[in-house]
Amino acid sequence: MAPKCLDKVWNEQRSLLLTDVLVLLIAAACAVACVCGPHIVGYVIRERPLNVNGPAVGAALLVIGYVCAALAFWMLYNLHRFLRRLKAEQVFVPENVTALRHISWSCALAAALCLLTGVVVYLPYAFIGVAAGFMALIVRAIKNAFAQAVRMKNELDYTV
Amino acid sequence: MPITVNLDIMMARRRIGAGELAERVGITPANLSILKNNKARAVRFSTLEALCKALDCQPADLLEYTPGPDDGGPEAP
Repeated sequence: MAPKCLDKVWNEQRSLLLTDVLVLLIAAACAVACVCGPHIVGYVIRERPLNVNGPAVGAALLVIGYVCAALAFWMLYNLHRFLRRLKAEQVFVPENVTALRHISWSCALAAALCLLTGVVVYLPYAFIGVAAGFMALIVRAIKNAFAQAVRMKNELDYTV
Repeated sequence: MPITVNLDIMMARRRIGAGELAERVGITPANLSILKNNKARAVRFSTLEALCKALDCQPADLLEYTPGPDDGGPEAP
């Protein structure tokens, strides 16, 4: 149980604000990674032992990286909208179920891409893929719980 | 929803307004409107009992079953 003095400085709204700020920071980090994409790919090709080599590998890694970045931006945008609705006390609404579905699919697609890259090019990417896959699964379970809650809330709201 | 609530018919027969009925039954006019417009998903027995008492009728006078398609559509994956 948190001490009482903590309740004065920390509350639910501030917790939501912190999460929202973290989402924006991660989005900024993604933007920086996009700008530095060619350098990151160059570093990986120079310094890491890849399974396949050739001129096309760098371009393929760059394209995969940008596709993953696009998925990350889409995921973060949905997370931002989701947090905004939570702040407005719209919790069990169909829009949140849709947002969680989009987040889950973004993670699943990123997982598939990373697993493929891990198997073909560089194994550590596969670990990122597995982590993203687990994240997709967890978010999907939360999405199912939210969908059920929305159904129950509708039932309750229209019970006279 | 294949169950329809014929509340407006009974109200017209008994010549009673929505505000007065809501007050007698003990529900808000907004909830009575949900019932009247067939938007309700469920009715408590206590509400049904109060309605029957206020309108001096039987539950069958208020509720009607018409077979038809369910309105719940499939969920996206």
